[in-house]
Amino acid sequence: MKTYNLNLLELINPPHTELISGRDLGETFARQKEVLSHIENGEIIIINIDAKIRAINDSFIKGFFSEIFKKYRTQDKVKTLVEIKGSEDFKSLFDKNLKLLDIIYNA
Amino acid sequence: MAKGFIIHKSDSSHVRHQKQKLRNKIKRSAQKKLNRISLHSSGNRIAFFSYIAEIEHFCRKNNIMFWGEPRRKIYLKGKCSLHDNPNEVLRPLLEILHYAKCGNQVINPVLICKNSISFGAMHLIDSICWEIASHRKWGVEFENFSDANRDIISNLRTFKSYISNSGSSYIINEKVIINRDEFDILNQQYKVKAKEITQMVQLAIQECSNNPSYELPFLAYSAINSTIGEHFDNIKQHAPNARSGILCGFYNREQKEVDILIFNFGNTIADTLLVNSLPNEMRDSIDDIITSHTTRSFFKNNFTKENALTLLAMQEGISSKISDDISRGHGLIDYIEHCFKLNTGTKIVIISGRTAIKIDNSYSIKTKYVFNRLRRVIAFNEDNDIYLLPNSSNVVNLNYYFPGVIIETTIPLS
Repeated sequence: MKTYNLNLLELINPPHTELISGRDLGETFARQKEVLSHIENGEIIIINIDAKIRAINDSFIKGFFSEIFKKYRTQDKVKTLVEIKGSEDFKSLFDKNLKLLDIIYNA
Repeated sequence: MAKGFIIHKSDSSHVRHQKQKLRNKIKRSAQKKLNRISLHSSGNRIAFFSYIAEIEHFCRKNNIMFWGEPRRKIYLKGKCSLHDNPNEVLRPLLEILHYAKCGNQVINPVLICKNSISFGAMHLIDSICWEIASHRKWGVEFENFSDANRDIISNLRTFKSYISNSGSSYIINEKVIINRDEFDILNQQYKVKAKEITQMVQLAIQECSNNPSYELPFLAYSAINSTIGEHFDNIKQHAPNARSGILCGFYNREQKEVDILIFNFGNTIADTLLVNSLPNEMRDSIDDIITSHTTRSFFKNNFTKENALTLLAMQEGISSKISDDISRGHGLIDYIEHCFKLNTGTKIVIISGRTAIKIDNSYSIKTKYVFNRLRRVIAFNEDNDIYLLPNSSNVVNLNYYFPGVIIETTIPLS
């Protein structure tokens, strides 16, 4: 299966910053990396979260997934298209937000 | 009169003419200076300068031009704290601004503390004073302030980025310029301070628990960073005219608590739900709530439409930008959830316009079916129902108006 790697380390400036924050940042990052196009090409998106990243806020995650959810609608489907590579804590954080997006898009 | 200006009989007509010209010039210059200071109805001379637009707006919205003679002695009555008594913080700020323009231009005012004063209140007072000092010679005398508070005030430099770590307190302050440049979205200085403040909280717990190797768990570390991030994201999204915001972390070693204060001038929270471009779905929800409240005669002196809108804006999924993306409107509720993950004894106060919302462990966020879906809601009543009146101790209609948003979070470390 083809994969497309995204490295969130690009979005911080260690050692000065360790927080990834901002809905706009999430949306812009997804757009700049052409995430939807890669998904449509049949690639699995791998989101790599380096240990230097200490916090990702919910708004960034919602911004990143907004176009993906508009198209694919459910967390079950989105989870087949996007994989999180990072600590269990970050995986839980992404899960929580995907669950919330599922409720919103399927209300 | 100086010798050079006295016209003598022996002076030639040319010399007389030149001396007279000089005298007239000096007289005109002195008159111009005098004209810059006009008279207030109290008989005091009004200083003819303008504060920055945001502060002028703050003054105008509170009609301080009609406040009559300003008082030199400004009393801080009761607990001067944003959470306990926001009116008692906003009033002295306005009195200081009023005195600076219409009071004695030579004698400093005196701030007299009758009970206690919180860090947030001191920070705001300091901010206002630095603004005044940028226009005129200015100082404030402090009476009945504790040594610890005098120490804090003397260390405050709220107009700039600085760190101060003295015996009783540790302060990290930043005036954050809101960067709206799409191509420079990484350059958000608040993220640097978010890390420093998070590490300050970690240090505070290490000191309080006498455990130098203590590390904040992921959720707590992430929560503090995220809370700061969420607020600055809100400023960027909902206050398009705000050029900056203030971020301050304060560790009080004596009280063993950490304060995080964030504020900005700009739109109030209620303003964001009053825009003409509001999507239909949001307008319907707002109209529904307002109509329900009106029908039940809820809107009286102690609960207004603005209070209701501010409370509504806090609920999950309520946002003026919902048409851009239906997953918007989570910033404030995420912020509150994160804060209470840190410590259930946390206190948050949100002040915007004439509304103060005080959040503590007396009411919690719960999921409810409202406006066509399940959402996280905090309504400050027994049923957690946003269609019912909130507890007036938690949603307070203020006597004064703040043109922007202040959020103060106090986290006990015990």
